[in-house]
Amino acid sequence: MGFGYAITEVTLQRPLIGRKWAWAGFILVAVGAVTAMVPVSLGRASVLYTFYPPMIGNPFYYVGVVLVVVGSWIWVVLMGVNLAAWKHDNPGSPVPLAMYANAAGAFLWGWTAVGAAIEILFMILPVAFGLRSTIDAGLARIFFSWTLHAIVYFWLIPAYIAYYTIFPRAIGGRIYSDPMARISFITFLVIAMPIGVHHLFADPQVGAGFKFMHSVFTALVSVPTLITIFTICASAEIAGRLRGGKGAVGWLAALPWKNPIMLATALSLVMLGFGGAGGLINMTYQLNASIHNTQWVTGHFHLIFGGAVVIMYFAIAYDLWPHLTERAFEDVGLMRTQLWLWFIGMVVMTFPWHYVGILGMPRRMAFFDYSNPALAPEALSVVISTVGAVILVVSGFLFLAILIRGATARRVDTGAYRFAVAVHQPVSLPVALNTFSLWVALMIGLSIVNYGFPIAQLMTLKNTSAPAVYVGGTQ
Amino acid sequence: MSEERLFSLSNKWFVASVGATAGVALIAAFAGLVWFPLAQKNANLASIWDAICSAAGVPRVASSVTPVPSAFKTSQVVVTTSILNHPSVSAIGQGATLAQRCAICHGPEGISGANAPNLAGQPAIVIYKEFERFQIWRAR
Repeated sequence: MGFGYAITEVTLQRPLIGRKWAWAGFILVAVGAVTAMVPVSLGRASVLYTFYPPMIGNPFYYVGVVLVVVGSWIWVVLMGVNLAAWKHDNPGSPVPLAMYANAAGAFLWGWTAVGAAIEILFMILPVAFGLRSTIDAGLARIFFSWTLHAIVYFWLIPAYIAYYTIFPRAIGGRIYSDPMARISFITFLVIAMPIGVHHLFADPQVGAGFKFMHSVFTALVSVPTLITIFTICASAEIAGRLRGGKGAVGWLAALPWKNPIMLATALSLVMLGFGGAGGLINMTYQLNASIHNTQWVTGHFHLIFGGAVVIMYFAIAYDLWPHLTERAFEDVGLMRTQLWLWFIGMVVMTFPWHYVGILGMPRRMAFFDYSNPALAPEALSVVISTVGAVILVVSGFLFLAILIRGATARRVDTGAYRFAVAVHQPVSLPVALNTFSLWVALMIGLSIVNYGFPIAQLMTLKNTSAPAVYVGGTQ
Repeated sequence: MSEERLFSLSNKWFVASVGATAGVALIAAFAGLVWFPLAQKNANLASIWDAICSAAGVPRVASSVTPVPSAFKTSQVVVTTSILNHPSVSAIGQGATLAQRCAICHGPEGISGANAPNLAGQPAIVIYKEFERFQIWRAR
C-alpha cells in the first residue's frame, strides 16, 4: 500500500488525494492485524491461513482479518480516485506505466478480496459468534480459493512494477516496450482471478470439468510472466549495450553487477524460474496429485513469494529509502551481502522442502513422530532447510540494519525520484491500454463463468453443511 | 484519442481480448466438460448432457435399488463438537490419573513402543467416543 501511495505521488506529480483516508486505511490494517494476531498468539485461532472450515477459531481473529481487508479497500478506492482525477485533468495523456500497473494491482485486489470477505462475513463469523453451529465447508473453501490465488498476484505485481520501472533506470537502460508491459499487467488482471480452484484439486465438492477450466487459465498466467522475462532481459540488453557491451553475450558482462538492484533482479528471476517450473507441476491436475498438501507446496510459495517477490521488495526499499530519508545510502557492499544471503538462504531452505514433499511429507502437521523409521529419509532435508532458515533470519536483520544505517547517514540532496522510461516513450496509447473498464469487465465476467456454477450449485444443494469444530474458541 | 470507443466491434483491442478470453473459456469448457468425460471408457455416461453434469459436479441420483437397512445399530454413542468444551478441573485431574494406565501400552506421550495404536494427535472427541463405546460394550 505504501509503495502504491509513493507511485501515485511520484508518477502523477501531485499530492495524494485523500491523505486522511489513507491514514485511516493504514490504521484499520494495523489495528486489524493486531486484533487477528492476539488470538493467534494465544493459541485460540489455530485454523491457519486458509481458515479451514469447519474448524472455527476465536471470532476476534476473523474480525481482525475483516478490518485488514476493509483498510486495504480504502487503498483500492484511493488508487482509483487519484487515477481518475489525474485523467480528468490530463485527458488523452498516457497514464504513467508505474501508476497503470499499480492501479491494475489495486483493482485485482479489490475484486479478489470479495471471496474471503463473503466467506468470513456470511459463513464463518455467524458460526464463530455462535449464531449457527454448522458450516458448508466446501462452499467456504471455494470462496477462499477465489481470494487465495489472486492474492499472490497482488503481491507479485509490486515486484513486476520494480522489474519494469525501477530496474531499467537503476542499471542505466530503458524499458524495451511500454505497451508490452501494460499488456502483461492487464493479462494478470484478467486471468489471475478465475483460477483459484487449482488449490482444490483434491476437494470433492468441485466438478472435474471446472477444475480443468481453472487449470487451463492457470497455465495462461505463464503468458504475462514470459512477456515480462523477455521484456526485462531485452531492457537489460539495452543497458548492457549502452554501457559498451558488444557481441551476443558481451552485453551481459557490461551490466553493472555491483549495483544491488541489478543483483536483486537477477537473483529474483532465477528464483522465479525455479518457482515457476514448480508451479507448472502444481497447476497440472494430474501432477498435482503427487504433491498436493505436501511440503512441496510450502517450498513452492516460499520460493516464489519469499524469494522472487520479497527480494524485489528489498530492491524497492533500497531504491526508495534515500529519497524518503534524504540521506546518503552508501552501504552497497552490505546490500549485496544481504541479497546474496537471502538468495542462498531461500534456496537452501526451499529446495529440500520440495524434495521431502515428493517423499510425501505433509504440510500443516501438528505433530511429527521423528522416531518413526519411515520418516528417517526426510530428516537430513529438514535439517538442511533449517540451516537455510537461519541464513534468512540473518539476512532479514541485516536488511533492517542497512535501513537504520541509511536513516542516520549524512544528509544529501537525493533529487527527485523517477521511474524508468521506455525506448519509445508513448505519446498516445490505444484507449484499451490506458483505461481499465474493459479489463475489469473481463475479470468479473470470467470470474462468473469459472466460479458461477460451482458456487450456485453448492448454495442450492441441501445438507452440505458440517458441524463446526471450535478450535480454542469460547463456544 | 478520446473519441476512440472501447466497447465497440470496431475496436480491435475489444474484439481481440473478448474473443481470445471467450475462445479459451469455450475450448477449456468443451474439453473439461464434454470431451474428457466422454473419453473415459468406464464412466458409463449415457449422453453429452450426462457428461456435462458429471464433470460439473452435479450429484448423481442414487440408483433405483432400495438400500438395505442395517439390522443393528453400529454405535450407541452420540457426540457433538461442543461436548468437551467446559470440562471441570476435577474431571481433568481424574483423567490424568487414569491415563497413566493407557501409557503402559500407548506410550507416555501417545507414541506406542508396543505396537498399540499411537494416540498422539488424535482429537480428544475421538478418544472420548471410543471410551463411550467401550463402556457400553463392557456393560453388556
